[in-house]
Amino acid sequence: MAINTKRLNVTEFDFDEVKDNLKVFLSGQTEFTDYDFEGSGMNALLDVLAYNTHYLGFNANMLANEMFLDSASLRSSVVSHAKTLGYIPNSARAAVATVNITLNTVSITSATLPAGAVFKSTVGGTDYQFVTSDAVTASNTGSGIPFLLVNLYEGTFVTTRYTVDSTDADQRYLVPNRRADTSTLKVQVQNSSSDSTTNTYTQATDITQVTASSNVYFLQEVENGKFEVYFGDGVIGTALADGNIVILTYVVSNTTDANSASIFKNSAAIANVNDVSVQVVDVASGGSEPETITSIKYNAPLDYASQGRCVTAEDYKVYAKKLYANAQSVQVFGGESGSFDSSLGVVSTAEYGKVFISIVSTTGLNLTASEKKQLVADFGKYTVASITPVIVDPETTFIILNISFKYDSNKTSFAISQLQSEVVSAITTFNNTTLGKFEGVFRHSKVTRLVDDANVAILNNTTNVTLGKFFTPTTTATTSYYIYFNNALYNPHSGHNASGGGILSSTGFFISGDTANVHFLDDNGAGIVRLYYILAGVKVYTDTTAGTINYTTGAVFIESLFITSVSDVDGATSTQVRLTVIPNSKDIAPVRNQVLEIDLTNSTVSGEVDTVAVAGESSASGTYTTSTSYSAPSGY
Amino acid sequence: MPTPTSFKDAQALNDIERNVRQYKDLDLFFTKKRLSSKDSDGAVTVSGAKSDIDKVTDITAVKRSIRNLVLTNHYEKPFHPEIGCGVREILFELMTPISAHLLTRKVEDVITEYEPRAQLVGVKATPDLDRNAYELTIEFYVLNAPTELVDLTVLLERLR
Repeated sequence: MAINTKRLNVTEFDFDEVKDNLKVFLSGQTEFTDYDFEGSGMNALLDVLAYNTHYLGFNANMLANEMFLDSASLRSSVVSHAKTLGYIPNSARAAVATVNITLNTVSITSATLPAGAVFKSTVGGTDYQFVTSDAVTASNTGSGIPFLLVNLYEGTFVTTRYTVDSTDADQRYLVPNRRADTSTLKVQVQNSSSDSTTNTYTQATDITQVTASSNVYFLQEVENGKFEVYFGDGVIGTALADGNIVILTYVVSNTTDANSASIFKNSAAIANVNDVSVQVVDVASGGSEPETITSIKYNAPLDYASQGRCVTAEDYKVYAKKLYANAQSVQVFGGESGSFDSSLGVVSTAEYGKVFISIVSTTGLNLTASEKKQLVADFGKYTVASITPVIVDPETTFIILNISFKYDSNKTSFAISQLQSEVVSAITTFNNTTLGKFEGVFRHSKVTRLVDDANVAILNNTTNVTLGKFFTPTTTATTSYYIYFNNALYNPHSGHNASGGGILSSTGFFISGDTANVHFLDDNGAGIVRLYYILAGVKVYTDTTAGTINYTTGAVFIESLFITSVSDVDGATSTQVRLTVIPNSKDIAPVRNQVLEIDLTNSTVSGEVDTVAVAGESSASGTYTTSTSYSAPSGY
Repeated sequence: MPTPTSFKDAQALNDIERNVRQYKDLDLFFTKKRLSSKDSDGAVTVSGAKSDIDKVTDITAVKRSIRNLVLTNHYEKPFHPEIGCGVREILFELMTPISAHLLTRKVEDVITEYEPRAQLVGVKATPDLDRNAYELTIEFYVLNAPTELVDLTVLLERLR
C-alpha cells in the first residue's frame, strides 16, 4: 500500500517509529531535505519532536494502565481500585503465640495483665519482643493467678495520639508505620484533654448497621503502604468534635521473622510479681508481610463477587486468604465430594452440611489447633447458616523421579556432574514454582522437556515416576492405617510382579513380638498387602494378608498392625514410615487436600554420553543402550 | 540553464544548480532569513531581513552537519547512544601525539559512519599546547559538488 506522505502517521509511540513517521512526512515537502542525516539540524529537531511524542505517549500509556485494576502497577493505584470494590488489603501481620501465663503468688487476690506487657523470645539467635494487646484481669485460684490463652504479638506496642482540629482541613489519622498490624489496632476517642472520658470505636464492616451515633471508624490503606483511620460524618457514624483526642494503639512487628518462637519469658514483673511462668499452648505463627499487589489484584474482585458471604468454594478460598494471612494456597471442597474422618483421613465418602478447607501455609507448617479454631470462628460471620467449615491439614504426596539422560559431550565443556546439577536445579525450580499448590498438577511431559532444556548438550531423557507418602504409626497399640495416593496404580494384570513384591514398598519398622527383624510391606499384585522381613537376602513373609491395596483408587489399607518403632528414613531418625508405589500414569494430579512435592532426596539423576551422537551411527549403533521407561519398585 | 559563475565565498553562498537533490537544512544558529534576489548571471543581491529562520544549503549544510557530529557525545542523542564522536573524553587526556591521533580516528569514524554526503579526504588534529586546545582540520568533498575540496576547521577546547 502506498504511504500518503502528506499525512502524518500517528499510530506509533516508540521513539524510532515516531521519528521515521516524521521523516516520511517531511519527505513530502521540499523546504528541508536533510532530515535523514544524523548530524543535520533538522535531525536534531526531529529528535526533540520524536522524544516529546514518545514521552507523552509513554505517559498516556502509564496513565491508562493505572486506571484499571488489572493493569495498574503502582500500589497506591491498586489499593485505590480495590477500595472502590470495598476491599481493604491486609496489613503486615505480627507473629502470634498463644500462652497460659501464671503469676505464682498467694499474697494478692487478683491482678491485671496490662496491654503491652513485654515478653522475650529468641528465634535463630535473635531476640524478639512479644507483647499483649489487651488488658486481662484474673483472680487467684489459691496457688497463683492464671491468665489462660493469652495472645502474645511479636513487636512493639505503640500508641499514637491525635488532637482533633477541625480548622485543619488536611488533618489525617495515620498509623505511621507500614509494619503495623491492623488486626491489633484499637481506636479510642477521649473527649478532651480535660475530660478523660474515653469511647472505644469499632471498625465499620456493614454500612447498613451504622447509625448517626455508632462509634465506628473506617480503615483504608493510603500512600507508602500506611493505613489511615477515618471517622463518620455525623450521619453515617459519629463525627469527631474539636478537641477530641484520637488514641490509636497497635503492634508494630517484624512480620515473618519471629514465626516459630516457642519459649517466652517475661521481661519485667507483672503486677509486682516476679515469679511468672509461661506455658506455651501454640508457638508463634502467622507473622506475614503486607498483602502483595498481585494478591490484592487477585482477591479484590473475588471479594466483591462474594458480597461478604461464603457460598461457593471460591468464596471460601477468598475468605481463607483474607482471614489467615499466611495462606499460600487454599483448597476447598464441599461435603458432597468428600469428607474428613479423624481416623480415616480425607475420604471420598460424602458428608453433607460441611465444607472442608485445606491451607498450605507460607511457613510450611500445618495450622495449629488454636489457629484452626480461630479460623472457623472467623468464618462464622460469612458462612451460610447450617454449613460448618472444617479445617483439614494438607497431605503431601511425594514424587520420586528417576531421571536418566543422554548427552552429546561435543556440545559442552561441562563434566557430567555439572550437567546433573543443572538438571537438579531445573527440577527444583519446577518443584518450587509449579508444585506445592493444590492446583499443582505434575505433568510428566513438561518435566521431561525441562530436563532436555536444562542444557543444550542434553539430547533426550527417560524420567520414571514413583509416588511416596508418609504415615505416622502409633507405637503403643495395634492400629489400622489408611493411606490414599488418589491416583491409579500400575497393575497391568492380576498378580503383576507378585514374586518381586508388586509395586508397593515401605521403609523399615519393628513390630510387636519381634525385636530382631526389620519388617517391610509389599503387595502381591492382586490387591493384597504383605508383611515380610529379609533373612539372608530372601523375603520371609510373616503375614500374607496384612492389608489391601486398591489399584484403581490408589488406596492402601494396612490392617491392625502393632508397629513398635521405626527405622531410619533417608539416613535420619524418623517417626514416620514411607510407602512408595508405582503409579499407572506418569502424570500425577492432586485430589482434594493433596499437595504434590518432588522428593529431591530420593530422586536420582544420571547421565551418559550418547555414543551415536558422539562417535557416529556406524561405529556405535551396535552397542547403543537405552533406559527402561518402566519404574522399578523402590528398594529399602 | 545558467552556469554558476564565480563563488566569491564558497562558505557563504554555494548553491549548485545541477539537477540533484539539494541539501537544505535548518540553520541551528537561528539567523534571520535574508531577502535575496538573483540576477540573470546568478549573482545574488542581499537586502534586509525577514522574521523567518534561515536555511543552510549544500556545502554549508554538510559542514554544519559534520561540526554537529564532531561535537556530539555518546548518549546525547535520545535512544541512540551509539551516535556521537566522543571528543570530550580525549580532551581530558594528556595532550600527546597519541591522543591527537586518537582524536583524528574518532572524527574519521563518526564522519564515515554518519555523514554519507561527505567524501572524507583527511582529518588533522594539531595540539595547541599553549591554549590547551586542538585545532581540528577536516578536509572532504561534498557529493553534490565533487570538484570543490572543503576545508573545515574546528577548535576543540576544554571548557570544564
